[in-house]
Amino acid sequence: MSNLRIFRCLIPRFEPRLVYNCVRHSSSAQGSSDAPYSDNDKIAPRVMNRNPMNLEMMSIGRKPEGFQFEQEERAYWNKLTLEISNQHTTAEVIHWTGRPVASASTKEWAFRKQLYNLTDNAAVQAVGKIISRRCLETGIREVSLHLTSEEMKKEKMKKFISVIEESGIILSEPDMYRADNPHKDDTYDIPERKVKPWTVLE
Amino acid sequence: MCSTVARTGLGRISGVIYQHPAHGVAISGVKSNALLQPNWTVQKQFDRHNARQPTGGATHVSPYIRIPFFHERGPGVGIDQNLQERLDELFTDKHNAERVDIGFMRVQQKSDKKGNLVQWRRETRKNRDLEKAARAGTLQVDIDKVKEESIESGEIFTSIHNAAEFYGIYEDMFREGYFYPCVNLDIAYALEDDMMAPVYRGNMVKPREAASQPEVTWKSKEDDIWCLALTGLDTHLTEENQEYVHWLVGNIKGSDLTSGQELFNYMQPFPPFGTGYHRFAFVLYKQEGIMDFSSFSNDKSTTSLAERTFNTYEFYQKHQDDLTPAGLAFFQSDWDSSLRDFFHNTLQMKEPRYEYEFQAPHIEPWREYEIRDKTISFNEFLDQYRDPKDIEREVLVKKLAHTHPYHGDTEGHIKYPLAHEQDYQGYFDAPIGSKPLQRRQSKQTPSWRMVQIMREKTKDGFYASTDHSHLRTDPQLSQ
Repeated sequence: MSNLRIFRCLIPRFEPRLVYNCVRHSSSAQGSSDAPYSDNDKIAPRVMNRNPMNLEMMSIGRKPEGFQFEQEERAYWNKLTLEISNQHTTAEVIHWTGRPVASASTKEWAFRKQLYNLTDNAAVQAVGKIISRRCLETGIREVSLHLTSEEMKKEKMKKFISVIEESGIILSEPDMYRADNPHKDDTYDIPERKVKPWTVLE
Repeated sequence: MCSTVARTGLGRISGVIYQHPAHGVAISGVKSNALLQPNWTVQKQFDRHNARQPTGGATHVSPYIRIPFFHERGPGVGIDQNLQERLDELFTDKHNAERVDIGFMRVQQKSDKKGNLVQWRRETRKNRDLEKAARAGTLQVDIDKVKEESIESGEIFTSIHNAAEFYGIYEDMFREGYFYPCVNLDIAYALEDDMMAPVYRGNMVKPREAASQPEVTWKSKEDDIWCLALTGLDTHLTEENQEYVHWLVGNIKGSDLTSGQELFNYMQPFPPFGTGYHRFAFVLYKQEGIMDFSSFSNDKSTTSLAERTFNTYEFYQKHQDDLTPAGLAFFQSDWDSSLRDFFHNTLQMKEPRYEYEFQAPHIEPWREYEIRDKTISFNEFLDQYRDPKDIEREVLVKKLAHTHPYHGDTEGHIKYPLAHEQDYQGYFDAPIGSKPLQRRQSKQTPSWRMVQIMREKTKDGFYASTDHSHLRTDPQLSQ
C-alpha cells in the first residue's frame, strides 16, 4: 500500500476526472409537448461519469504525447512489458501513470511448480497466458506492446505474442480521438471519417 | 482468512470535512492584526496570471499597464506558494492525508519461498516427463490451479485491492476509507447454453448478460452474518456523487443468500447510451449481529430511481459499528440495445441518449480593431464569432436545396465534387444593363469565395452535416 502512495505523489498524473467530463442530453428538453412518463423521466441534461478509466476506454482520454524524440515510446494508455532475466520471466501490464494493472512472473510459487525451466519457450508462453487472463479480469482489453524490433524476430516473442492474441487481448491501442474543429480549414489535409467513440454497435 | 477479532481500531469515518493543508495563513476573509502582519490574506480566487509585476521600464508608454500599487501586488516571498507547493495542490489526492483502513486486518502471507525453491529444483530435475514436455513445447500450465493457489495464499486480495485503487472504487464509495478484502466473492451470471459471465475486478459484462440475478458464493462459518450490496457508481441521472443501489440483501446467515432479508430486489445495470463504461461494485459486509433495517421503508421491488438513490459513504457511516467490508468484486458495463425496452417498460421513462461534450475549440477573443491573424479570410474570421446555430441554419438550407423529398441526395452520384467548373463562375454577375463600378474590376470569383466553395463541396467543417451518409439510423430498425 505504501508503494502505491509513493507512485501517486511523485507522478503528477493528469486526473481525467478533472477534465470537463460532462455529457449532454441530446433529446428534447423544455418546450416539449411530451409529458414525462413517470417520476423517473426527470433527468439532468448533463451527467458525469466518474469512472477514471472511462475516457481512455472510449479513446477520448489523453495519451502522454510530446515525447516523440525519446527512445522509449510513451504515447500509450497501457503497456505490456516482458522481461526475461537469467533466472525469471516477468510480464507486466502498466498504466501510463505508472500504476500496475496486472503482473505475472515465474517468481510466483504456484506458477513455478508447474514449470521445468523458468526462462524457456514454455515458461514465456505460460507467462503470456496468465498475464492475459489477469489483464482481462481487470478489464483492460487493448494493450500496447513494447518490444524492440530485434526482440520481435526471436521465436520466443512470436510465441508469446500468439498466445496473448489467442486469449483475446488486442495488442494495438486505438488512436486518440480528436474532436473536429469546424472553424479549421481542412481542405488541404482531409481527415479520415471518424466513428464517434460512444457508438455501440450491439 | 480474516481474523474477526483483530479489527483495525482506526476504521472510523468521522463526519469532519477535509481541511485544507495550512500554509501558515488562514484561508478566509478574516483580517489579522494590521500592525505586525500584512493587511491582506491569501485569497484562493486571486488570479496570479494577471498580477504581472512589470519592471516598469522607462520606454513603456502604454497607459493600460502600469507599476502596480502596493495593495495591488500579489503576495510576497514566503507567503505565496512556490512551484512545488502549487503542483502539490493541483495533484494531491483529496483524501491522501487522512486515508483510513475500514476493513479487517491483513493476515501476513507465509513466505517460505526459499525452502520451496530448493525442493522444487530437486523435484523438477528428477521429473523426466516435465523436461520432455518443456523441450517439445507441449508443456501446458493449468491456469485454474494458479488461480486457486492465489486465492488460498491470499494474493488475490492484493490484486483486487490494486484494481479497486486503479478504478477509483474506494474514492467514490468510501471517500477517505479503503480496505483489503479478505473473503473471495465468487460471482457469475448465468447465460444461455450453460455459459457463465463471471465478475472479477473490472471485467466487461453487458447489461443483457446481467439481466437476472447472479449466483454469489463465498466461504463462511455457519454463524456469521453478512450483508451484500450491489451499487452502480457512475450511472446517476439526476444528482452528483450519488449511486444507485441495484441489490441489497441484509442479515444473510452463513453463505446462504436466500436466508437474507432482501431490502432491494435485483435490478439490472442500465448505463445510458453515449456515457461510456460504468462501474458496478458488489461489496460484502460482515455484520456483528442481526441488524434492524426498518429505516429502509421502501417497497423492495421499487423501480423508482429516486428511491434507489444510495450513498455508500452515508450508509456505512450510519452503520459502521455493525458493518465491516470484507469482500469486493466489481464489473464494468456499457450500453446495449436491450436497454431500450428496459427504460421504456421497467423504468417507465424515455431512453436517454447522451454524447460527450468536448471542450469548445479555442477562439481568441476579439479585443482589437486590427486583426493580427491574416491567414484566415474575413468571412472565416467573422464566422468564429457567430452563433453556431445561425451557421448551422444556413448549412441546413443549403443541404435541403439538394435533397429531393423522395429520392434523397441528388448530388450523391458526384464523384469529384471540386471538378465542376460552373460552381466557381459567375457568382458576381451584375444585373443586365448595369455599369461596372470600375473598369478593371475582376469578374473572377474572389479567393475567399473560392475557399468557401471548396469547403462546401468537400463537406468540411460545418458542412459535414450536409453528408447524407451521416444520418443516424435507428439500430433496431436495421436489424
